Amino acid sequence: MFEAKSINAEHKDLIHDVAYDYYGQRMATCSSDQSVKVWDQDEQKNWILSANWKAHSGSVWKVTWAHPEFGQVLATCSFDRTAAIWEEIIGETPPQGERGLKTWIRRTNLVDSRTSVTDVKFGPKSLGLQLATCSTDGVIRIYEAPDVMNLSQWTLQHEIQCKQQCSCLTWSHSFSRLHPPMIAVGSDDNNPANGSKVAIYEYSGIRWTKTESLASIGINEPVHDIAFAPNLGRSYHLLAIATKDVRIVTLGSPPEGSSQRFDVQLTAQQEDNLSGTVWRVSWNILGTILASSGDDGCVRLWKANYMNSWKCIAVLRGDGTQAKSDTSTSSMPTMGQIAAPNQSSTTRYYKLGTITNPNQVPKY
Amino acid sequence: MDVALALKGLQFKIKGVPQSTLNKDITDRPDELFQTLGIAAKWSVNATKDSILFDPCLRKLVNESCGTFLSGQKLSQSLGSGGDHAPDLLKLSRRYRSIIRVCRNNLYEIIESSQQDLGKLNSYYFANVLDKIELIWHLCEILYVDVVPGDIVLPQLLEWIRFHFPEGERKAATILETGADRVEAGFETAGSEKDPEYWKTVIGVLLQGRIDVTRALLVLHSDAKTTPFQHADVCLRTMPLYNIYGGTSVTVFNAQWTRWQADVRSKIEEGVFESNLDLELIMKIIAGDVTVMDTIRNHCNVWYQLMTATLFFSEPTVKSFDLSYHADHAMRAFGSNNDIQDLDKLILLLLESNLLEVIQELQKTADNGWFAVHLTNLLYLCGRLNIFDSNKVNVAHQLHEHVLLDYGTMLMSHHSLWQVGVSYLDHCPPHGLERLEILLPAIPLTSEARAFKIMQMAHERRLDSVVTTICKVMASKSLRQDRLGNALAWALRSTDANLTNHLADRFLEGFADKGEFEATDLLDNLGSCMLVSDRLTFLGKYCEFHQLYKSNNLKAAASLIVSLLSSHLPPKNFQLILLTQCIPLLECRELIFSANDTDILLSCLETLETELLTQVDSCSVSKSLDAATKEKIQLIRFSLARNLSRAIIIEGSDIPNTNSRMVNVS
Repeated sequence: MFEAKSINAEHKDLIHDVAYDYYGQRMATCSSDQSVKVWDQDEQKNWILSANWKAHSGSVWKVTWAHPEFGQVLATCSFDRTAAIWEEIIGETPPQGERGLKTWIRRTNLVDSRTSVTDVKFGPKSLGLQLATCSTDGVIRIYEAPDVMNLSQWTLQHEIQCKQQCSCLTWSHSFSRLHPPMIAVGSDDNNPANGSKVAIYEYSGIRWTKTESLASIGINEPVHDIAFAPNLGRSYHLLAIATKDVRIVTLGSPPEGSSQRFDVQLTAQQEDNLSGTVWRVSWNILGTILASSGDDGCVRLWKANYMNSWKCIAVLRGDGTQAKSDTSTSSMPTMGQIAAPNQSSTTRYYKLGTITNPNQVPKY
Repeated sequence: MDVALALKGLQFKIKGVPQSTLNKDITDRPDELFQTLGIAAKWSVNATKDSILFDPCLRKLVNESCGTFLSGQKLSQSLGSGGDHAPDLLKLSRRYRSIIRVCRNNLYEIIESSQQDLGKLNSYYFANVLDKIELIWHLCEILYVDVVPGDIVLPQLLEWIRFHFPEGERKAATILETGADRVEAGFETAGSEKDPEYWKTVIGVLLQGRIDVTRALLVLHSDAKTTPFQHADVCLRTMPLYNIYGGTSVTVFNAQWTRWQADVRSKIEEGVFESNLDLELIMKIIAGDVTVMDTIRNHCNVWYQLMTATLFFSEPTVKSFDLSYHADHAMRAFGSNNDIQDLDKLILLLLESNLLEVIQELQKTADNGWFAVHLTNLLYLCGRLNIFDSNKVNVAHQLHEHVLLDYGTMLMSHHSLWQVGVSYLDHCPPHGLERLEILLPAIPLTSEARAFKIMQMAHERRLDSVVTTICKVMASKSLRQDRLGNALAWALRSTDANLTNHLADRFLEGFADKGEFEATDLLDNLGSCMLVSDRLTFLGKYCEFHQLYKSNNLKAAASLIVSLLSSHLPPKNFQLILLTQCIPLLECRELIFSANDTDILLSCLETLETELLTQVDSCSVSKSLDAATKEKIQLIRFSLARNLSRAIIIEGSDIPNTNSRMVNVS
């Protein structure tokens, strides 16, 4: 069912992130060797290197694609305290360049941070072209390109102090106009005494304010990745958190008369600890399947059944073999007794969205 | 067309056509192949094949079943309005089955013609899966769709067995044929018992409930004229057969049945059939004698065959809710292999009416949920899908929608079947539409034709945001390839002001460089589209000016350029170009600009010059403009002055008030 293709990325150091473009036909990788590589899928579904360049003067932590309506645009962030916007140029390939390679040029360098920039994410396109970054000194920065046709001009719109070192952030991509723009930030601070490691910020139209810290469900361990599920008309938000295990949190509207902003519920938590520390979580485009990668070198896929109970539907090993999917041991708490099929025949893993390729699972 | 043909094919099959060499070839294959390839092999034999549904030979299955699904949805709208829809639903079920049949037959044709062993094996695997699917579907149809009054299901179950295990009837047909030939040839008796398969065939058809065929076969025996055979024929002839529409009630029938069986039994005890052991065995079978159970089992390939056979001679009026008991019993009696295969499990679950588990099992089959979704849909339409959660709430609706969504989404991820997927998602409101809103723009826009197709689909569903997104992506793509005209066409469809502004600027830049426009046919025919953005309006008007100029309609061209310059539309860097283009008009032999117009142009020039000068000043590089600009401005000013003087003279006494301002023509 699941077939693993090994790609020799030839990065000279650890690969930290891999990102698919909107259609799942291109892929970008970034590494501690300070370079970024872009891969294109040919008709035989092979991944062909199409660009490779030194992007930063430090480890590149994250890479992410902008929506294709803005062109072929990447954003990267790095230990060198900067984030950068890259655009692919057609027809200006220098003749001495490697054959068949495309040129990416740096459109802008965002140098506001004084510490390592740990994550960078484009905002939902309904907000225009916005970019959020976070850094180890605990600052979230929101940038905007006022003219989407001009990617070299970015203005720093907001600076939010989080008071904890930030490791990851995620925008809520909601299709409802009723939901204000929202960002969740995770922290990999090792000290559990410093309280909840997740914070949620919302934009009121004037400023970003912290509206929730998920203190009620007590996430005090370091958070390595965080991802809002794309919201298709749900009244609540789904947030996946990668910490020592996988957790899925719902943020619903609070009961009437409550002073809380959200009704926070821990919908699912991995029961076993087979995967070890979880490093990445990633949703498919519909927000129906969650992929997580852990220390055991496996990617797990989680899916909810029609009763909204989440279960592990597949475990993929790096070598492509499907690990025994014994649903009895590796299951999330189920609300109903009814299980989703234990193998989803609906997914071809590179098609439906950005699921971390098992070969590039970051191991720290 | 195909459907009708297939239905005919179904009947044809029942009537027992001689077995084709092809099928023989397959049944001769070792059992282990069946085991590895059967429905138990959920995930295909070789790891590179992920699912059978995306195989080219099964496209028909996907497409035609979608058509049937859609007509089912149409039917569902009229379901609420009352009336008897059972025949329509049955027809629907039969259509699905015939689609499966057609595909299966196509596959066997492929197997026959294929040269490659691997291709053969794959097709064989697909056909096998389809066979099993049809077997289960047929059973579902009997138990849940084609519900007979009184719930007497056995006659249909026997038909089900006959349909899927036709070997016995086929053999019987050949024996009958040769027997008839011999009688025709003038032999006294057909002597068919010389055929080594004779008794096996007789018992086979008897166990499938074909009493008429059994009798016909017995007649071909050399001893058919002897007393035991005559008695046996009477027994078989008088056997009461339950017919729902026969008018007899179940109790009356059961009484008849018991009397008849007692009669047969007494004849056996009297030793009427003792002379022929085979005949006696047959009579024991119809008498419901438990001692011959082992023999019956040896004549059955599968446990459900055993179940129907024993039921036929012990409890012909069994109700469907008793079936699970009998199924269990038959399975234990059959029990040669202890490991229950998925197919057995499914049939057992169906007989137990455990539909939820049936659907869950089906989702695991190698057809990507094709079977699960269509069967769930059909059962849902029939109102037979009632699944309760822990709070006793019927969640059938959720389950139905869930499988539809899964299947539709799965098809959407396929590069060419996505349009079929849309049809399924259309029928699960509201989530289907929401999914479409996300999935439609995520289909790779490999060609303009596909982009148009997706746009049209989005448009029909009023997903305006999808339409806009696709246009913008296409525009951005064309722009990157420097195909400005194309980019503008897409930008216009998206009605995005920012994007069209940018593109209009690119056009003007191109014009300033090369002195001509790209994609003039598009620009000349902008029409009301030009109102999307200011810059585009200017671009459109400017092109119009060029057209007028070329067609020598100088007056109109002049008044257009004046109105353009007096508006705020032209970008600053383009005003000088516009003014330069006035020179030939100003220098025409005929007076084109009136004194008033000239005055407007002049004031434009003045403002522009001051602006340019301040710009230069702010940079503080030099105090004056560069030579070329300076020369251009001088030339324009000169032409303007000459024109103004001409205009004043021609316009005669009507001296414009601009006269008060002096024109510097140095």
